[in-house]
Amino acid sequence: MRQVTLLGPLDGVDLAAEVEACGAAGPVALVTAGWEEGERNDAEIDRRLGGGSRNLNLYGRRLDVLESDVAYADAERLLRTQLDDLRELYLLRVRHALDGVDVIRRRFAEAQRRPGPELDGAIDAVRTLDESHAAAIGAAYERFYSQSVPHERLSIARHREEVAEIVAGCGAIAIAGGHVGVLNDCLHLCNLAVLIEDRPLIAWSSGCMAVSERIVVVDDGDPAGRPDEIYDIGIGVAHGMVALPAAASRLHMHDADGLAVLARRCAPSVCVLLDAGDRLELHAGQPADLGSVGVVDGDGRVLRGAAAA
Amino acid sequence: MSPGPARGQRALTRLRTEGSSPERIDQLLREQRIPIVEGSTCTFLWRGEADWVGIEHRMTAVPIPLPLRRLKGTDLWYASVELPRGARIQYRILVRRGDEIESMDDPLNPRVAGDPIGSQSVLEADGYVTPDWTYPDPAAVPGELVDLRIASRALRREAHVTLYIPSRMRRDRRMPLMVVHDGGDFLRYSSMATVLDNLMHRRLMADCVVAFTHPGDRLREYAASPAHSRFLTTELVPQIEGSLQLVGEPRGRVLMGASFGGVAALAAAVRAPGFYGALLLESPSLRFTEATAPATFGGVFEPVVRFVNSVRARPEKVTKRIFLTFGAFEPLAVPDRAMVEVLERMCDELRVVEALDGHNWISWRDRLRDGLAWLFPGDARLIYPG
Repeated sequence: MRQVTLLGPLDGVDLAAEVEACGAAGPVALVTAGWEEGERNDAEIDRRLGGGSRNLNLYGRRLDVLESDVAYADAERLLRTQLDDLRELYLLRVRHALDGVDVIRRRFAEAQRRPGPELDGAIDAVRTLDESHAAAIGAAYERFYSQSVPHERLSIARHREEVAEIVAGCGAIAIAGGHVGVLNDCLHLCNLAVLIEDRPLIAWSSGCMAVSERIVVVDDGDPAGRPDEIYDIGIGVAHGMVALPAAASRLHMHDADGLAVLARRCAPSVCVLLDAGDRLELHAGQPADLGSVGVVDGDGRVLRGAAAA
Repeated sequence: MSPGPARGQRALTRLRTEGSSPERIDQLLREQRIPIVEGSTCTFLWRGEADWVGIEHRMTAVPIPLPLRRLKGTDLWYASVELPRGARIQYRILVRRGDEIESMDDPLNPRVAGDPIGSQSVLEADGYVTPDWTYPDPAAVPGELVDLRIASRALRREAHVTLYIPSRMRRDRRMPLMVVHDGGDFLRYSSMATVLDNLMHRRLMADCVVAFTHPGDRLREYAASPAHSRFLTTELVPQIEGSLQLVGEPRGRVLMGASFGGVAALAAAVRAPGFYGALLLESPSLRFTEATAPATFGGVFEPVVRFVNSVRARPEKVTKRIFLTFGAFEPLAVPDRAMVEVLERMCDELRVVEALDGHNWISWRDRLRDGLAWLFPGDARLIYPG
């Protein structure tokens, strides 16, 4: 059974110990695509992994594909435009739907009553938007992949083969953080979900988001005022959870109402807070021993340890 | 904002108490930052012989000019005002000797802001901080500035445009285009290239190509001139979109302008409904009349008033989003506030930011992050620690 370890941002984490703990037989295949242009600036992380890691260079490979396969690049630009349009409308609608949730809360608070079905209905409206957006993203990818079948593109096939060959010689895979969108695109392009197979996987920060089924982006301090959003579909190695790295700096943790809405939007998946020092093991792709990792319940409380389980 | 109470004159009170000898005044001026900011009370000072001294400014609810009083038995003049936290104003000192009135930067205040007309002294109230993204950041790779000359049939002249090309060109993305009026002034007085470098580097705004236009006969071209609108929509934008990897659709086209430039931006959008996806308007000179003739505000404003009156009479949707900002301490705050209701009907989404500042390039600079991050949302929220 594949062992998956999810970590918060890396402050002070002994990565070499994590590699040892997962019993990796061979070097670590490293993904730093989320660092974009800084992908190969990986000496420090290699040292922390114990040395000898093999960087899969997924960001560079993606650039090469876009450079060498003009038709694919054009098709992908079109896909990005479609996704951008979907996202713009979705964010607009979610913001208004969340305003509706706030209005219900305020009205009941003024009357010193506890909202019941009215609040449920308002949150359901947001959930409906989330679900239809996730479905629309999925449909856009499906259309794209049926028209531009990746493994039939020479350039992509060649890179996939090279990546598979490197991974075959490695005992574990490590996925770093960075730009979650870029990282996710690179993981999909090189079909990493298939290559992971039974190898131990260690992911941290936004790496945890990209290996989940859905990528949920939260940022209460967003200068553009965008609400929490279903951003993309991850590679689906981790199930039943929404990874929220650096949650303490991105979420207003004192805002129980806001956290409750987030948790209820993501249900039945569990919102897992992954701050620096947090560590979560998955068994069969599901959160197992939560340890000290916080999860958010439907009332906006952050539960840890036995309470969380 | 109002003339300040006596309790605000603490430094001056001390001076009076301890004796206002020339040496004590020298010491006060040496030790204090002028104007003196004590909580919400800001005290202007001027020293010298004169028949009358005042402050030329645009603050509301404060006499214009604000007369300074002479501290008895001295050559020190003073006046205090109350300013809200975070406010910033620009002013000049007026000194009358006989029939002569001299307008000058405050000789006791080294903080000066420039604009095309000249310079003004700057008063930064308690809590005002120059945003860190306005300073050059060695980590931010600067965009490239390229000068273009476009033979414009609409304007019947060669148009000068400075194109800002961001340092990061992603191959899987088409970039939006923003056209900025008074481009040279925004580059010079609002450090806009630095601001763009920093906001894009920090991913607070999306990478974007910016066309800084330089006006010819500014007050004619920007006063809702149909020729200028034609230049933007049928010449400038298509030419740039044809030469770079840009979005090339309404959602990727933004017009920006301040003061008269704001009028020009709105006028172009009104004349090409749906062609531009958003507008960024800073202190737009949206003068209008309710009952009087458009000539009320004088010659250069006449076409503006005619245009704004027509828009007010029948506001129609012309764009998706409008970001409007203006200073609370500028005369245009009143008409701009009154235009909010109209602009709301001209777009899907309107965001309004009323700044505690005036009609000047620094105020417009300080609002750029709000406007650009909203109109071109960046990827910062997608980036997590490595």
